[in-house]
Amino acid sequence: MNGLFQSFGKGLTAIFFACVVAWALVLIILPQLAMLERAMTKPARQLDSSVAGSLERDAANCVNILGHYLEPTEASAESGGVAIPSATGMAIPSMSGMASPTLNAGAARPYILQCDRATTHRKMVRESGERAFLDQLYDLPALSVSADAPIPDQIETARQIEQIAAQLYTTLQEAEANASQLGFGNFTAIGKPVMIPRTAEAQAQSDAAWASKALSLIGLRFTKDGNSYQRIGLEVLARTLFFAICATLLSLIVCYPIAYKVALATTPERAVWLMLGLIIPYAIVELMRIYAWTSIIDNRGLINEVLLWVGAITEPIQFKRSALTVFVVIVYTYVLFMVFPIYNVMNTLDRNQIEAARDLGASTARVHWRIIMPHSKAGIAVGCIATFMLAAGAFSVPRIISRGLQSEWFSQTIYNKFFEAENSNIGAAYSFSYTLVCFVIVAVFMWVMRTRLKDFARVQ
Amino acid sequence: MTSERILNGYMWAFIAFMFAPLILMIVTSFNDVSPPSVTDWRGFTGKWYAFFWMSEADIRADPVLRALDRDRFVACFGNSLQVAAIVVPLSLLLGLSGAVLLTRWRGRANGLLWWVLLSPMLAPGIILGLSALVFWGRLGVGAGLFTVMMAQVTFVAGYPLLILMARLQRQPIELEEAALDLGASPFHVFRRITLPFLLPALASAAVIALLSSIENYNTTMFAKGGACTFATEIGAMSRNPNGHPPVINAVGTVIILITVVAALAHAAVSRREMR
Repeated sequence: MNGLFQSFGKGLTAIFFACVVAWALVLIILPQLAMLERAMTKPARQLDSSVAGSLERDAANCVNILGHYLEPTEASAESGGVAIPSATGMAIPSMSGMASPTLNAGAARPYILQCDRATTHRKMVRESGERAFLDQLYDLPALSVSADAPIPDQIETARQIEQIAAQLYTTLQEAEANASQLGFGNFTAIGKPVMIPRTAEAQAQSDAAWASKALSLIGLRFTKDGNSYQRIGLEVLARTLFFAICATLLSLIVCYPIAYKVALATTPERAVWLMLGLIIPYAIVELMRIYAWTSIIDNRGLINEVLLWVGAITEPIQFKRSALTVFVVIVYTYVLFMVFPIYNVMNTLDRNQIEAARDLGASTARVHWRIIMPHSKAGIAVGCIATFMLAAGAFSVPRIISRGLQSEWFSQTIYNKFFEAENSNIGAAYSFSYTLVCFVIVAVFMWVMRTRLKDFARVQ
Repeated sequence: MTSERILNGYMWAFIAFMFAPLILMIVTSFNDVSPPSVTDWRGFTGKWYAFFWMSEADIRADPVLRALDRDRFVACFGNSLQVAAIVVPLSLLLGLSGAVLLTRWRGRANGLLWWVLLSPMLAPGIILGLSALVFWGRLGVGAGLFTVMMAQVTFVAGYPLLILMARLQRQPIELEEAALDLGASPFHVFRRITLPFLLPALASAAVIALLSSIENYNTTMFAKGGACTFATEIGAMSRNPNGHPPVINAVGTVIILITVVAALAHAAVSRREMR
């Protein structure tokens, strides 16, 4: 600290600290905490108070609508023919058409949805399988608006229900404001099994696939009572991580010789040009490199047209529907993030060491294994982490390449859960769990490789 | 030596693999057919480029181009510049502060600071966008360009951090000490010695921050709300069941050309410096 004061002065040091604290807190830590909080919050529509609130609204609407049926003749005289046609016109077809058994010919009004829903015996939002009702839960009188009663009585009942519900709503809201609404319910949604309706044939076909076998082995697919279930959330997660790890390994295998060639096996003059050949694709906007692939893999794209022309196929292959295509394009897009860290470290190796080893009779494999690889371990680790993270978090590649035609990448699942599902808090839970999973994988990998975070600064 | 020839061949195959899609992209941008294709050649055209300056009447006359919204495209690009105008200076400032503290501060929390500041670079981009959205939404700021800026700064600041740190570690501390001994104020030393020393690194960090801000898709997509940027607008064009318009390939070709020219210029300059 004193050193900082000495070389930068109090003012500048304070500015540096303020900036770093703002970065760490406002941009990194607090957003993750907000995310965690969101992930643990039950969605508002599931709260008991919201059920009471909607009962109150229904009862109020019921009172309003019933008011129109109270004195039909009077109303018609006043409104001059506008209300009557609509009132009778709507009432008659529904009377005859719906013909519900409770509705005898003498009923004073047609079916009204709001009045039907205005009952204190109302079902609560609970986990599937669990049943609870508002009146039993909170000890309310069992009131409901009966269509057979005279209309003034109905209005009276609806008013009562409205009052009871309003009271309950305020008390429940107060209670809920004080009670914590946090829980792990949203997280369990990730592992929830979903029943897949399938014919026996389709089932047998799907069971035969090796991916399906692997997934049932780890319990993500199972059969119960003749129905097949899949834990879809976990399945997508497992598949994404599997592909991301494969992409990382493939990139490593592809890139190691490249980095070796540019760093150690060529003259510096030629290395400049080879570097250009690597830097140019690296610097081009990621989206454009993905778009460049569409004209290759389209149904009328390069590969299909060539294969058709040769006569190897008669129907175009649907590359866009294959997860393998997404995999290949991900490797293409992110492979260079592996080259540069390895190159940067290899570049610092003294070539004389290699010469010495050769002179002492080491084989090429041995030189790599004992000299070059240990030296470039940090670069390999950083490259692997970068590639893995990019591949695991890939969103643009599956979105652009597949156009929604094939099964999802986990990042797409998060997007769909957050922006398109009814409960966005589950999306937050997915996202937070994904962060945790990725960090655990990286931490384990760093521990295995004995890499420190400081290597990141060294190899960039 | 055969092993050397194999390695050479492999190297060229790899470079060909990297460049082949890009070359196809350039070719398709001159083909008069939509969606872009290399196999179905319908004649040379420059209209996918001319889209950006041709008259409204011409655009309406073309069956492919008339479905596109040029003004929106330009506005989104403007948004991108706006975002970058905030993100680049802010991330340079944060990156510089972080680099100074990580290299010079020997406090107890140093190790923790490493983890915290580098974690955005280790996290999947989508999560940064989403958490910025949730966090600022909680504070009452709706999703839009502001959340995009905040989400981008979170990880873009990491690039200046790493670049400046590498440079700071090589800074001769004696210069600074000499200036301090001669009675210069610390601020003066920073302005006259440290900053000039960091200037080349700051410049390259700014370029990298600018590029990564403009091209960022994953993070932006999650934080943007109803707003749009250059990258998200281009990404949105893929959601067309008939394939994307070749205008994208024209834009891509321009980007490729700019990148190639810039890379060649950079290589030429650094070669001259080497001599």
